[in-house]
Amino acid sequence: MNIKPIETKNWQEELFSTLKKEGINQISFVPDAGHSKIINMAINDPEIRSIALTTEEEGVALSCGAWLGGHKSVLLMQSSGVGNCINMFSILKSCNFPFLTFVTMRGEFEEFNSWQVPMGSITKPSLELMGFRVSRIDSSDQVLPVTKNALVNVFEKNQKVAILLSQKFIGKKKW
Amino acid sequence: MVKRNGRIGKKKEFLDRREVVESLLAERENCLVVSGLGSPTYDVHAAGDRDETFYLWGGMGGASMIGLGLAIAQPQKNYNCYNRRW
Repeated sequence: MNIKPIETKNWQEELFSTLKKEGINQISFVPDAGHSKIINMAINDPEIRSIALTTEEEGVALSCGAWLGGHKSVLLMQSSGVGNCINMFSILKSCNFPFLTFVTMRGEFEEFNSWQVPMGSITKPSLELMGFRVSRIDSSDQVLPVTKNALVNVFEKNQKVAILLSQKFIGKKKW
Repeated sequence: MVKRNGRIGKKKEFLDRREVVESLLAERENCLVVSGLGSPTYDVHAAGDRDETFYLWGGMGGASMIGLGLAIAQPQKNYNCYNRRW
């Protein structure tokens, strides 16, 4: 008989605790349904500083300042936000700063908003043009291994890494 | 009438940006400074180059948020950030 193990934690809780174990001190974000559980965990955790942004590029600069001050930071955003960040990514390149971002994808599976398609369709190549390593998560069993690998690449090898959470994985946005 | 050092108009009527930045930084103590690209970086450098300064020469609009990330990481320091408003 093939019995699936009962999942005691959802992937968001596992991801959040992995980031905490790594010593992430600052988590910045703009409001986003796909990231909402992790955003709320960050807001409610006294050991993590959560920073609400007015535009995603602020989170790139914040991450640079955090690193200069000895903190580790992660930016949570949507694929459309990647476009807003492009010029600010030049600080990462010029100063060789490490950088990690989780990107919820739009413009893919069951997207209802056509305006999300232009940026969603070029998110990965845009990041790669700015020197990022890009990983994609399509199922919950990929979350931890991909995240752990990214943490090594970012904070031990000074890389810029973006982890894309596919729209099919996140689930259709419900209003 | 445009003059050098960012002075626009008659000197009597306008602040001299470089002088203002110099006076703001004159008595800096336990202070980290972040400057935005272009004139803020030139002004801060002109006031005296220090190890405690992080100059931007790109990434427009990033200086304040770099300062915030730093301040959260090292709250015991004082901070001074210079951005240019267009």
